Amino acid sequence: MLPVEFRCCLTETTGDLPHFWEHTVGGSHATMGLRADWREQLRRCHDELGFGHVRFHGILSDGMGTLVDEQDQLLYSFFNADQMWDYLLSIGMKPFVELSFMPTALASGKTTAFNYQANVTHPKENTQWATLIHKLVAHWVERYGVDEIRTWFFEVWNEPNLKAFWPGSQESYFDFYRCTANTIKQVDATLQVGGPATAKDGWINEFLAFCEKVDAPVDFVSTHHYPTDALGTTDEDTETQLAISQRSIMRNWTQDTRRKCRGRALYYTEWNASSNPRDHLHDEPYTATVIVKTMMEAKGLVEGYSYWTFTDIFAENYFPAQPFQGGFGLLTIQGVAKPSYRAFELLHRLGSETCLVDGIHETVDAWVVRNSNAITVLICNQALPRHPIRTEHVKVQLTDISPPTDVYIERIDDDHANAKNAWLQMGKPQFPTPRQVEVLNVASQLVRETQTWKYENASAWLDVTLPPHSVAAVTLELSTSHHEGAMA
Amino acid sequence: MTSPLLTSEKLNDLQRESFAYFVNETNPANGLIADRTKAGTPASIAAVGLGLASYPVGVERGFLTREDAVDRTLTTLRFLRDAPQGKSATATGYKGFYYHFLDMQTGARFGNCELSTIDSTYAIAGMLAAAAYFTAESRSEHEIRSLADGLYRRVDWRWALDSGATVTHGWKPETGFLPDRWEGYSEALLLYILGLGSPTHPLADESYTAWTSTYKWRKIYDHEYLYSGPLFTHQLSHVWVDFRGIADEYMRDKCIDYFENSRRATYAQQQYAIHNPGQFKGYGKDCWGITSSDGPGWITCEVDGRERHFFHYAARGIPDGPDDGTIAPWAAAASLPFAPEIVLAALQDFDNLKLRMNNSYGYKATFNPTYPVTSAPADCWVSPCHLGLNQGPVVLMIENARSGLLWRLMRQCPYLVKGLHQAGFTGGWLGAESPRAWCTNASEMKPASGRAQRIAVPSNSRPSNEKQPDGV
Repeated sequence: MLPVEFRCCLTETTGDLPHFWEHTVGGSHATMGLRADWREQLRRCHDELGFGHVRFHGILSDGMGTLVDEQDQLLYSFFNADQMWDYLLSIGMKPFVELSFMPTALASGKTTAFNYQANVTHPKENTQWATLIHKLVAHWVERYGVDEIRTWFFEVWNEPNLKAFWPGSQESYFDFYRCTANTIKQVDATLQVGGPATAKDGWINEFLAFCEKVDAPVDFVSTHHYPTDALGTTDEDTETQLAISQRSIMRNWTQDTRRKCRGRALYYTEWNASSNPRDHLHDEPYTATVIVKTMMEAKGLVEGYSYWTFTDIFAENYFPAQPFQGGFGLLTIQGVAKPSYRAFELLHRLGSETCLVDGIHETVDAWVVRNSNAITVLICNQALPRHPIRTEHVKVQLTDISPPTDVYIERIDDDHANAKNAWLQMGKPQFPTPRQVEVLNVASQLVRETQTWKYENASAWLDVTLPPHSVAAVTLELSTSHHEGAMA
Repeated sequence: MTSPLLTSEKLNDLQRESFAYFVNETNPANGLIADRTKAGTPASIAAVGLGLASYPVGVERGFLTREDAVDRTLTTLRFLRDAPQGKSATATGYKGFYYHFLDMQTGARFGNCELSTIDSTYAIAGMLAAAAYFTAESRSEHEIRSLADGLYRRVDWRWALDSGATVTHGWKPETGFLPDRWEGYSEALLLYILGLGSPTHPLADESYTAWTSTYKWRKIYDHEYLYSGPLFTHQLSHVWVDFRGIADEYMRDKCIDYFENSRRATYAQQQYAIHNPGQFKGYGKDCWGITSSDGPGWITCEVDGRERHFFHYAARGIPDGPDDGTIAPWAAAASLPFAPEIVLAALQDFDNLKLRMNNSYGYKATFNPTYPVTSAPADCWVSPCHLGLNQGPVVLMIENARSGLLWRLMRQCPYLVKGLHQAGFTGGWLGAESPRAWCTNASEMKPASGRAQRIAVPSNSRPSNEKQPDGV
C-alpha cells in the first residue's frame, strides 16, 4: 500500500481562518434552557469550545409564558426569557434569537409541532404580533442596553418552507417577515434581523427578491442544511440518504447559497451530520470527521455555522434515557463528551492562518493551520456510509519550517476519544452510575501522545496512520525566538 | 455505493504505463512526439508540450533519470528554437506559434494543417514547466531555462487576436486567420492567462473580459457550474494551473473557483452516465468520461433493434451531446484531483473491463460498448490508438493529485502569476497582490517575498519501492 502524501510549504499561506464555527451553537428549545444541567453544559461548551451565541426554538412558546390570554386579556411576561438571557450574558455568551413559536393567544390555528406543542400557525392579526415583538425587543434594549442588543441576531421563525413549521404559504411568511423586521427596526434601526431560516437552503432567491421589492430590511441570511438533504427521496432511511449523497456536498450547497446571498452575511443556523434525531452516527467518530471536513471546507463562505445541538438534553419528541442513543448533542445527558465534542475542541485550538497543502486523496484530507508559536496538521479519513474506506498511512512533509521544540498528536477514532466504545464495553448501562460516568469521561478525553518526526534542511516529516473514520491533529510547537528568526 | 476503488499501486502502474508513451513515441533526434500510435503519424505540438511537462514527473517517480530528461528536454527546445518560423512551406510555425501537426523528422508543417493557438499554448506551458523544474546550476539546466524563456517571449499573442477582442483558433498561410475564436468556457483559459502574462507581446486586459463575457452558467443534474460539454475542457488548463482558492471576477461572483467548477463538471458527467438519456450500453455510476475524441467511425446501423449513429472524431459532451456511446477512460483519469472518490471507482471498472490489457501505454483513447463487434479483448469496440494528447493529462493529473508537482512548479512561474493577476485572479496562494506589484522585465520579476524561489526536493522523498519502467 503506497502512503498518502501531503506537502505544505509554511510560507505559502492562503489567508485567515476565522473560527466561524464558534459563532453560534444550537440548543433544543427555550424551556430546556431553564434547567441547571443544560446551563452547566452550555457554560462548559463556551469555556472549552469557544461558542459565542446560542440559538434554540420556542422563546415565545407558551411554555415560556411570554404572552398568555387570561380571560380575554393579553398578559405579557418576559421573566423566563430574561432568566435565559441573564444567564447567557453572565457566562459571556449571547443569543441568536430565533423568534418562534406562536403564542396560542395570537395563533390563527391549532397546528402544533414537537412534544411541547409549539404552535406553528401565523398570527390572527399581524398587529398583535408586532405589538408583542416591539414590547419584547424594547424591553430587552431597556434591560441590557442598545449597544448589547446590537450584537445579537434576530432570526424570524424556523423552517417556514416546511409545512410542519409553517402551514401557510411562502408569501404569508414573507409578509410575516416584513412585519417582524420592520417592527424590530422601529425599536432601533441598527438591530440585526434576518431570515428566512429555511430548511435545505431553501427560498433564498425568492426571499431576497421579495425584501428588495418591498424594501424590507435583511441584515443577514439564515438557512439550514444536513447531508441527508441530498439527492433522492426522503422515504429512504438515514444511512441510505447519506450513501447516495456525495463527498463535500455541504460545501457545494454552501457555495451555491453564498452566491444567492449577494454579499450579505450568511449564517447556517442548523446543521449536523444527519437530520435524524436518533442516528447512531451522532455518537461515533464518523461525526467528528464530518465536523472537521465540513468546517474546514466552509472557510470564506459563512459567517456562522451553528451545530445542532450542543447537548442531548433535548426533547422535541421525547426525553432520551440512555447516554448513547443517537442524539444530536455534542454531550450526552450526563455531560459525557462525544467524539463530535472533541472535534470542536481540536478546531477551537487551531491557529488563524491556513497554509496551502498539496496532495489529494479519495478519503483523506489534510489542512495546515498556523499561529505565531505552533503549527497544526489536521488530518481526517472520512467516507460516506457504505462508501469504500480503509486504514491509510499518511506522510506529511512541511517545508520552510524552523526546528520544532515539541511534536504531539491527538486522535479521534474507534480507540481514541470514543466514549461510546467504552460504554459498549462496560455492557451498555442504561442509567450509568456516577462512577461509570467518570470512566466514560476519561474515555472521552483527547490524549496527547508523542509524535515521531524527522527534521532536515528546513523540512519536517511526519508519518501518521489513520484508521477509517478518524481525525488526527499533529501539533508542532515552535520556539518563539526561532520563529521570529525564520520570518525575518 | 460499494464500488471498489483502484488501488494506489495500480494507479502508479497506470501513471507509469501512460508515461512510457513519451519515452517511446518520441523522435530522439529532435524531441518531437507522435500524435498517436499509428504508422506515419505526424508529431503533435500539444503532445510535445505534455511530454515536456511529463519528464519532471518521470524523474520524480523514477520512470527515467534526470540526465535522460534533461537531454530530451534540451533536444526538444533547441530544435524548436532553431526550426524556421515564417510563411515558408518548411516552417514549424509563425509568430512564435506552432502548427498543430509537424513532420516527425523535419518539423515542417504537416499537410495543410492549421497553426493552432491552443496547441501551441500547451507547448509553451510544457516549456515553462520544464524551466521551473530544471533549476540546477549546471550548464544544461541553465540552457533549458534560457531556451524556454526565449521561446515564450517569441510568441506574439497580440497578433493572434487578428485585431479582435478574443483570440482566434489559429491561422493558415493560404487563407489567414481561422474564422473561429476562443469564446465560451473551454480549455483556452490557460491560453488567455499565458497570453496576458507575456512580457513582450501580451494580450490586452480587455481580451480576458471579452472571453469571460461569453461564459454560460448552467444547472445540470443538480450541479450548477460554468458549462462546457466535453470533459477535457474542464481539465487541460488545470494540468498546469492550481486554481484551488484563487478566483477571477467571474468566479468570485459565483462564490466558487475553477477547481470546484471542474469538480462539479466531473460529477455532472457521472450523473449523465447514471441517467443515460441515450440508453447507451455500459453507462453508469462507474462508467463515464465523455469528451472530444475519436469514435468507431461515421457509421449508422441497427443495434438491438434501434438505429444508432456513430461518429469518428467529435466534440462529444454532456448533457446535450453529441454522444454515440463512446467513453474516454483517460478523461475520467484526468479528473482525479477533482473527485478522486468517483474517479478511482471508474478506473477500477475500466480495469474490470480489461481496457488496459495488452496495452503498453495504459488506456487506448476510447471504447464503445454500444458499437457492435464480433470479438475483441475488451468485448467491445476499442480505439486502435493511443494519443499523446490523452496520455499527458493522465500522467500529469495523477501527479497533481499525488503531490501537486505541476502546480507547485507553476506557482513559481512569474509569467503565469503575472497572467493570473492581469486576468483579475486573487485569493488563495496568490494572496492579494495587485498587478502593479509586478515588473514588466523578467529579470526583475520575483515571487512574493517569503516564498521559496525553488522547490527543494529531498533526495529521499521518492518512494523506495518504485520500479524502473519497462523499456527504459
